[in-house]
Amino acid sequence: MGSGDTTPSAPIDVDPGMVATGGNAGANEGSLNPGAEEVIPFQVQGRAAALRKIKNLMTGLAPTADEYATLAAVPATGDAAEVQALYETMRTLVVGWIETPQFDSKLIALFRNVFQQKGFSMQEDMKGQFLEYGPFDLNPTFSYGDTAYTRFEKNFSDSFAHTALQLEKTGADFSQVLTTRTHMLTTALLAAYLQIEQPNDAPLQFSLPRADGPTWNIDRTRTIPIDEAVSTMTFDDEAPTTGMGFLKADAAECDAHDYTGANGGSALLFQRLIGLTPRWNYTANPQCFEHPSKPYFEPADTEDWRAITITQGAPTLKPWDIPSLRALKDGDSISLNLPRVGFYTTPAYLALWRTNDSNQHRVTANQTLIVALGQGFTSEQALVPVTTVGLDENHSAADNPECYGCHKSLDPFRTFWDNQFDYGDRNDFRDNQGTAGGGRFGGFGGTATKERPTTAGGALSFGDVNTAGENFDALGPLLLQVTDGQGLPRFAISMAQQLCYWADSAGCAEGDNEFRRIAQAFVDNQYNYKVLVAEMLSSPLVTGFSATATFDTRNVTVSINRRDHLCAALGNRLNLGDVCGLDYAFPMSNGFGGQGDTDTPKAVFRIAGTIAADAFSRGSEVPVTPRVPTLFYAAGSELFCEYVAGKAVGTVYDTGDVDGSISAMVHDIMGYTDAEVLSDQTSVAQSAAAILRANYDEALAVEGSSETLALQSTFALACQSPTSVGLGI
Amino acid sequence: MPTRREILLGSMFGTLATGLPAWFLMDPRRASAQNLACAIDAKENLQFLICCVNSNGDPISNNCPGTYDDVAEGGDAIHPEDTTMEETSLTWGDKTYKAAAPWGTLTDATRARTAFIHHVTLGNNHGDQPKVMRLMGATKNSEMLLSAYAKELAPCFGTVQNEPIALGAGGNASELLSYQGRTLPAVSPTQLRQLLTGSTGAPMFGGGGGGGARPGGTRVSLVNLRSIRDKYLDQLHTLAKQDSTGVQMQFLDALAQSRAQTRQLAEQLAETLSAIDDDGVASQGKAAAALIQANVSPVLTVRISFGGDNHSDNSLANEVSQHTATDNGCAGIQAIMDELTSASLQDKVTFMTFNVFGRNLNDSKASARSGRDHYGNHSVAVVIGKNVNPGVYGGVRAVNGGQLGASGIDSATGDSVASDSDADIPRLQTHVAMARTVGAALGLTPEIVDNMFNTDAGGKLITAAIVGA
Repeated sequence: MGSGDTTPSAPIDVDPGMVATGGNAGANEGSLNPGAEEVIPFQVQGRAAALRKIKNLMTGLAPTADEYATLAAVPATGDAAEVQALYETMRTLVVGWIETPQFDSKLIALFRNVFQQKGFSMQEDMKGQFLEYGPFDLNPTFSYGDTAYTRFEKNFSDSFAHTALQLEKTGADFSQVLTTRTHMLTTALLAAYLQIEQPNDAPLQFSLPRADGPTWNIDRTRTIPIDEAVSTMTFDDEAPTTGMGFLKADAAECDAHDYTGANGGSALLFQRLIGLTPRWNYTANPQCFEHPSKPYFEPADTEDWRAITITQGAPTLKPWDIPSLRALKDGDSISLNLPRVGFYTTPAYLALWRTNDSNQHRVTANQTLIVALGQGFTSEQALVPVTTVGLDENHSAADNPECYGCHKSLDPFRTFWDNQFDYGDRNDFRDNQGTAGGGRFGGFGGTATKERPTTAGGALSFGDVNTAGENFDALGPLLLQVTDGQGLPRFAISMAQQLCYWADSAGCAEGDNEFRRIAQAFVDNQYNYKVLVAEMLSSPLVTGFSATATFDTRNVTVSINRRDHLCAALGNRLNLGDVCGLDYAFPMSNGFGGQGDTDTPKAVFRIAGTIAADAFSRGSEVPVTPRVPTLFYAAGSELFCEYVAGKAVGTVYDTGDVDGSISAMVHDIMGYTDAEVLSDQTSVAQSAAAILRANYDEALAVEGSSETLALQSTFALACQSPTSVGLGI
Repeated sequence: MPTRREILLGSMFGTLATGLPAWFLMDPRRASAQNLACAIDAKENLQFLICCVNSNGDPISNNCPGTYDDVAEGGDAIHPEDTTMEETSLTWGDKTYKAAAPWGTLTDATRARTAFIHHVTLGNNHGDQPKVMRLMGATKNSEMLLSAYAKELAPCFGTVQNEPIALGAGGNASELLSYQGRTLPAVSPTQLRQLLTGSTGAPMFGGGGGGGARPGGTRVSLVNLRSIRDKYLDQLHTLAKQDSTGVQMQFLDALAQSRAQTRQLAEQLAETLSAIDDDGVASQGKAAAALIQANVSPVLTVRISFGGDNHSDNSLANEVSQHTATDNGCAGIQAIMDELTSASLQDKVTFMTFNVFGRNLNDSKASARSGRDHYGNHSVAVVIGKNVNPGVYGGVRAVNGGQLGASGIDSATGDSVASDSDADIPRLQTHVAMARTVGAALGLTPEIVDNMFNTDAGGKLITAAIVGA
């Protein structure tokens, strides 16, 4: 068979081979069942359950009658022919679901985790890159207007996920996630990338050298459009629609001020653009306190994703020049001093794995290996590195083998970052720190100053690669060379393993012939991610249609429908969009109270937050994919279903057609199709509908109840049913 | 007519008239001579555990008893110069040790059952917290130590779940717990309150305007209709079980049981949970006490800060401020103890700290008081409980070119031992010794504790630290 077509809508062309049923469990066997859970003898999983699981995973939608009929039509011969036919049928379905818009959304959520771009605190973890008291450090009052601030956080997390999605959608070589300088960015993110390269002009630098940034001022008397504001450097102070923070502008004291010198600069200007007018002057007792304002960044500035190539060089654009940034088109370039290559140099990634003068980018380097190769450095690395440049002498003593074992390889590798980013992951180095030393960024980058390195690059000594690279552009290709010692690239193994965890909530055995076939198909098709998805999601590793070596070590898994999946399922099936409020971030939301427009999504966001989600952990090669229905999951999913019931009844479901509504709930929420029958030929859908109807009648009979409430309760019942909250039922 | 299962669930949080634990009647197959005996012993000896887990590797170990010149040998540990951290002699039961003044925040009653076990962790990165919880490979099946305790304690107490619960992990994935290889979600105190008290009083969940008024003005809501839904949800479970596989059956049973447990907890904990209004240390204490009162889990984790990840801590200011905070540091520990006392649990619960690593005691950065770096060569477990003899066990000595680190320990006396060759607990096994000792403090027998560790794990019970050992 040939290689994969690169057009978005082309069918995936890959030689599937025969579905393997044997092989060794392999190198990662210990992590597949670390608690030694009893392995139940393999049982073939039901077709309807597999169909519900895989379509839900990929689209959040319920199976259609036609899809079930297609799978049910495969003759149950009980032999290899049946296994092969089921695989091919499921694969055809999977290939179709790959092209749905819902799958794009699912991939965004997956890629945020795979490439470790989420989970940082913008307030705290951006202080290195954007400076303490800089744009996103809203201390001490944490005031901001409208939603620009929270949208930035989501933008940072989503950017590389969108970049990876573009590679997937176009069928491009997915290994470009290791090498690309073309990133999906919004106007807001473009401004943020440029802001990182502004001089160190944030206030309150105390004894540290501080650059004076641009002078600007505020005119509270009128609305000033952004074009005029940028040209005159005079910005308005229009009130926001919603303001967070308790300090309001006072007319007399807050009238026009020049934000100049220690009271001005780009860092404070950026705050104004995102919805906070800084205090004036910048003292403990200012004439005018900071207060929420209408942001100059509009919601559309956080939604206009474009592929922008970042070349290396001095920036020619200013972060506050929003009109020019909006004018950049898909395929355009900008220049930046800092290298922005692959997933491992994004602001989100560098915030999440924040370094300091002690760590010196070791965490950045090790997490990169974990993402790219599925393995991190250990003290058992036997390889003698090609270079010891960058090796920390404090950890290189011969009598300290435990430290040395890691550091001998990790330290030359970390220099890829350490040679081009300072400890704040900025481009200041000593340039903006003078020679006095002392802390910077309020100590967040550490106390040591760092000379600007005179060389770039580093060395990768890992697995079967032991080679130096002269700059960041050499790093990705080096990572791609690492194999498992049997010819299979570790990158392919890592991407396949991440997908296995996503689908199964458990790992696949790396030595399992079926797993290796899938990873090899990914390689053979020029790292076409669609091929990887098609092969993995139709594989017995995920369907449970036949035994593979993985199931010698762990069970076929049945899992809870974790947060992203449950939210997507209800949002997509009910056409309610972001029903969990996940598209917003509420970084400072603690309470559940209030009934306002923003209080309800905050409350839902918090409830959704109690439902276990996919995550990752520092230093761990194993993704976090909880699958057990704890009492907290039961409680959280119940609350959530009750909330959604209030939105669904009256919009999707009609009290004027109770039976029709119940039938729709059975099909759309519980995922049963009319053709699905039990071994005694009972219709599952009809049985389920009868149960829901009985619940409706009894709920309606409660004194003080109503048709609406009874139907809401019936929806909540369907929503809490095993096939709704479980994957693999 | 309630079913047998409902009756048993109704008495799940205590013992029945037979005197036997409810779990025994529900599932006699679980009972063995050993765990039935431990269930009976539980009243006297066994302890629930609240453990402070902090992957920041806070400097809790830098100013506690054992780091001052009355105990430490081979060099002076560096302490903050701030007067609020003044070196102070404090009584610990019938013993006196020096410590930073904030340790005096602990009451006499607390200090009389507080041990400081100095040990290595061998982890040096924040992300090592899960590995450290597995004692760097010394636990059997790579089980986390807290989960190993929980596994043994749960059948004795008949808790709702075997798995421990992380109340303080927040968004820090390194502090999440795993049980038999499964990662468990964290639950904050405010989330716990919302989850278990349901949506009562929150109109947004009350039916979206569709609810009618009950006689007397009480509004009918979806919460009121839960009992009806539960009945039909059971029927949907029965439907799903038909033709299901073994793993599907297991999942369905677990899901149904979790729902039943939620109902019981909502009733039992309503009053306690209503007092929780934030996720601070005191609220974590309230939540932990409530979950223990309700017999939900034998092991809970909280998070108390003593200075954070203070690499760059000029004048050790963060170390000072968090040690002396009124809602964290030493006062945070006492807040937990106060919550236990107010719930009459002070004799049923042991507290411990178990962080990823300690921080340098006397390197050049610490000596300049400009911060402290990660230090897997020394940490301290603060262990407080009824079965604990107060005191300092092990200690710090010059272990590496003048660097202070955890010393070896004499298991009989608990004394710090200068030379590893003279110690029956070598310094590199002190973390396992600490774990064995905490196991004994929880009332677990030596045989049960031995079974938690690989045969080559090493370490020994520090008998001096345990009452009656």
